Amino acid sequence: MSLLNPILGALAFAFVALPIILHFLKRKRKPIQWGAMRFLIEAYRRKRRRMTLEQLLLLLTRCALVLLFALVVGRPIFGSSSKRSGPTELYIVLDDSVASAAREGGSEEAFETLKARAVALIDTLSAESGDRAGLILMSSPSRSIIAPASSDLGAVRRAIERAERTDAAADLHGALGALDQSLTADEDDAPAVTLAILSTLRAGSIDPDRPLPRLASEGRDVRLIVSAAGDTPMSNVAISAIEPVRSVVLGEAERDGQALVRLERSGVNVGEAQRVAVTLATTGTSTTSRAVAEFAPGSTTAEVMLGFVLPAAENAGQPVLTATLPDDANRADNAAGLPIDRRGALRVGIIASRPLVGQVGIDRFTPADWVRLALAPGEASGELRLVDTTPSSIDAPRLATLDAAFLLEPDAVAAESWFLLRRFVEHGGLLVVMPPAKDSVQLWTDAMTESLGLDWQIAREPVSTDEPMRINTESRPPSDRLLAMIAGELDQLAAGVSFEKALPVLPTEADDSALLTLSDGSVLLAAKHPMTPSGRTLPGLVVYLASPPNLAWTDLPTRPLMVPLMQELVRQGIGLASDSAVRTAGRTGELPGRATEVLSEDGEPVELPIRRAGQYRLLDDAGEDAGVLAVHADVRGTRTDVVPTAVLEPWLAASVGDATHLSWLDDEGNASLSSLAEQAGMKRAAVNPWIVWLIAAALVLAILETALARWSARSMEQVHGEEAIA
Amino acid sequence: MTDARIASQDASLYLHPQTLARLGSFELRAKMIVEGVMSGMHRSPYQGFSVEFAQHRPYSPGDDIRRLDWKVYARTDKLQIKQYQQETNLDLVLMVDNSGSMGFGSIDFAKASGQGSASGSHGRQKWTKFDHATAMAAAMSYITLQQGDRVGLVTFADAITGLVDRSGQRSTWRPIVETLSTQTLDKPTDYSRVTDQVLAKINNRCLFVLISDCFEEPEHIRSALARIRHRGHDAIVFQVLDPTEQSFAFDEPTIFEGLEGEARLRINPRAIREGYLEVLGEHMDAIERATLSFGFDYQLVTSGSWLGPTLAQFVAQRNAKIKKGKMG
Repeated sequence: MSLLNPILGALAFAFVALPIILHFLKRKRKPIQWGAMRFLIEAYRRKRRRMTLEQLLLLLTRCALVLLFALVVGRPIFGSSSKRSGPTELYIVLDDSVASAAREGGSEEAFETLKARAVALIDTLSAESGDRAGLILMSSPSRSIIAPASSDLGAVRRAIERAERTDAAADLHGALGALDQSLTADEDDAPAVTLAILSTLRAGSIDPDRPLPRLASEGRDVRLIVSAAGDTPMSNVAISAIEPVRSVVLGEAERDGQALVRLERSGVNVGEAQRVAVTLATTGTSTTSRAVAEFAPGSTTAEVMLGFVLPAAENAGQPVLTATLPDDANRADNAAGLPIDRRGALRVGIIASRPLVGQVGIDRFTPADWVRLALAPGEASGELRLVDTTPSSIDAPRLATLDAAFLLEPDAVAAESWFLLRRFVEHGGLLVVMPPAKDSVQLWTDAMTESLGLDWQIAREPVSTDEPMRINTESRPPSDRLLAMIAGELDQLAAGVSFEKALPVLPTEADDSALLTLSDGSVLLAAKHPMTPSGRTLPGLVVYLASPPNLAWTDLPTRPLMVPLMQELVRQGIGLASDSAVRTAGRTGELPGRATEVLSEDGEPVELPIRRAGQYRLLDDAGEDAGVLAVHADVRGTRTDVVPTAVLEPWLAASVGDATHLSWLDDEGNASLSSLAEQAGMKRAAVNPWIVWLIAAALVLAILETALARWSARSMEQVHGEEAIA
Repeated sequence: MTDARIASQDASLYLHPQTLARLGSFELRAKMIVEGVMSGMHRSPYQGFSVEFAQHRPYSPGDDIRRLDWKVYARTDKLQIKQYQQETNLDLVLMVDNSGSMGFGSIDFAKASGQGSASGSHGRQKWTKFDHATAMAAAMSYITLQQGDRVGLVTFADAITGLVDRSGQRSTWRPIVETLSTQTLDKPTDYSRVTDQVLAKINNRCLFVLISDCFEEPEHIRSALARIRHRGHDAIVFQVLDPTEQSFAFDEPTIFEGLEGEARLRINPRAIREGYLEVLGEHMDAIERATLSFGFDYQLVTSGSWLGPTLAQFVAQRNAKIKKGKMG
């Protein structure tokens, strides 16, 4: 049993001393000279035991009456909370995610308030009473700082005070899973568990569409106390992405560039049009660019293109773009960085067998010749350096020096070489595959899709039509970044290109990798990142062109589209294939490229996953500089939409059984275990039959006390009626 | 003012005119025929028989010397009185209890005296049981002396504390009153001892009037009455109680202190009232039973009531009993 009002209850309990004091208190009275003393003594002798019993009974009744009164005032909790009479085991799940960076009052982050509440909760516990406490931080991936619960309450308090907000999203599911593992009742009389979830509980912190796991408490009573959900209307705009138009910048000289900044918004302003100023700055230069992004009414996304200037390579290290927004409800997502991948030149491998004779007429050009010609049209082109190799000589060292590879004779690739190509792709390489210009059945496609982890289905026989096939530019995907630079002229460039034959990718509904299709609907150009068997997307990019530059199959090599298409496949493809140096806080995963270690701006090593947004220095295993890593706040966690209590309550209560085990902390932050208990007992107190029984018992005792008190006076009334004994 | 005058005033206070007026309408009848030295107006139950010598008895001061048997004196050198059967007289021995418990009173003195006096001669504010007892004794002695009978007085506690020898002279009333008014009330009672002392002084048969609260073990009182009965005397027992003693009308927890040196007792009267009244009732029943078992009379007297009605009612009942028992 516990008390909802322990202070009031204690005061009321103290009043138990009152009847006891009164019982033993002897008032000084003037003695009465009495003649018939012998009869008084005799009567006292006879009645002494009964009088003592009656007085004791009266005293006990009065004490019990006061005790019951104290219980009624103290409002006890019985039943499911019966174990609360013992020590308390309190687990605090503290929301240190980016959602707690919200500023409801505009003064301080919600995280500071949540920490203060957590500390106040710990301060209500008593190690002498056997109370224990644990701490789990909610940001993804959740961390069990102190779990199982420890009796060293000071350590828990210090851990709370040391906790810092992260820029990762909240992971309440993971936190409850961690708690569930800690709730192993290895003692027979394990105390009841109180779980306090301290979070703003806005849309960024929780996902009500995903049911919470039920805590398997092994018979232990788990009571859930939740901080009041934030219900103040707030509006927040976040930078969801920053994408350069050209992923890889070539050359050492100063250059101009453009970057697309994508924004997301949440909160009360979603229904209205909104204009947000975006600023883009580049390290190494003092120039910044500004633009205004406009949200349409009802739209949650907006984007804006901003220009930037990259300084000359000798003036700075790796350049980093930084986009910023004005302050709003959550400032953690108002800045995002992007390291620019700047390279002096690209090494492109042409994997094809060498012709036995020297170059002859244009009608004898092989696909490799056309590709080589498209990639290096002039002698002075120094940005793309071509490396010739043959399918039979594919080896890892050679591939490691390449940024991209054109595989023009995939049918000549040995099985083991496919795995080398797979590793090349996984390390951020771009692999452009074209079928051989052969009319026979082609069996290499299965080996390619299997080894590269692609779910394409490629025809085994070339498809030919009576009428030449054209490029259907109308079905292009809008988000295509590979051909983004020529998208404006693509219609014009593709107009005169015809295809006689092709070995196309069979279109599937689920596949969105098609970039160009032919007039018969078959896929001409597709690009895809390789995937692991478990479905995880890997760096690197595989591009498949269904019709090789062979004049027997297509007139593409002779058309103006050929050069820009090949150039863009390489220049953009390499950028898309490269492992981006941008990570999301809490989801940093593996480091990009060859980096093995991360240092903070202060030069301190940083553990993975990185939870704080910002820019970090990367080092390879030799300790050499490996570039810059930009970590963004997880914008999933910065949504400020208010989740209605009607939705929250059943969703939260499912983790502990039902709503009777759930209570809300008040919004004032006056957190104490007593107020917690009071609030926890609110619902049950309204229907708690024990209170009714206590009041009834108190009434019965009051009647009994009155009867006992009057029992002593009964004789006097009889004597008054008789007036005299004789 | 001399002590005698104080005593006289006290006596007159006790003998309230209203009390004497009520008594004057009745003749005090002897319960039994008492042989005495005086022949009086008392009618002999043996009336109609010749005057016959009954017995000798030793001479006591106050006896008529004409009743001396000179022949016996001549032979034995002892003074003997001849007693005749037809000559009856009433020797009244008043035994008044002046033990400590008799000093209890709950009624204002002025109210009890009927004269508006604020206090008694000793400055007491309350009308005690002893005050009531002395009033009764003075009234009875006065009436008896008026009838020419002999009256003696014994005041006692654990021993005889005051003694007035029997005498028929009307001036005897004054020493009686003086004796009653000079007693202290602080000792316990010892009925056995006192009875033995009194009986040792009395040879002829007397009417003993015991005025006491009888706060003594019933067995002791019974033993004392038995000795009186054994010596052929008659007795009337007036048990004097204060009205508060009979009701125990206290409400608040109180410290009670005994008047005869008992220990103090802190008690809640409401809790013990029933038991107290039960014990008191048992005691009074025992006293009454013991009295009646010897053929004596018993009368409860409440000190808060007037003397007159109590004595008049007693005398009337007494006369009726004599007539019925002896004449019939």
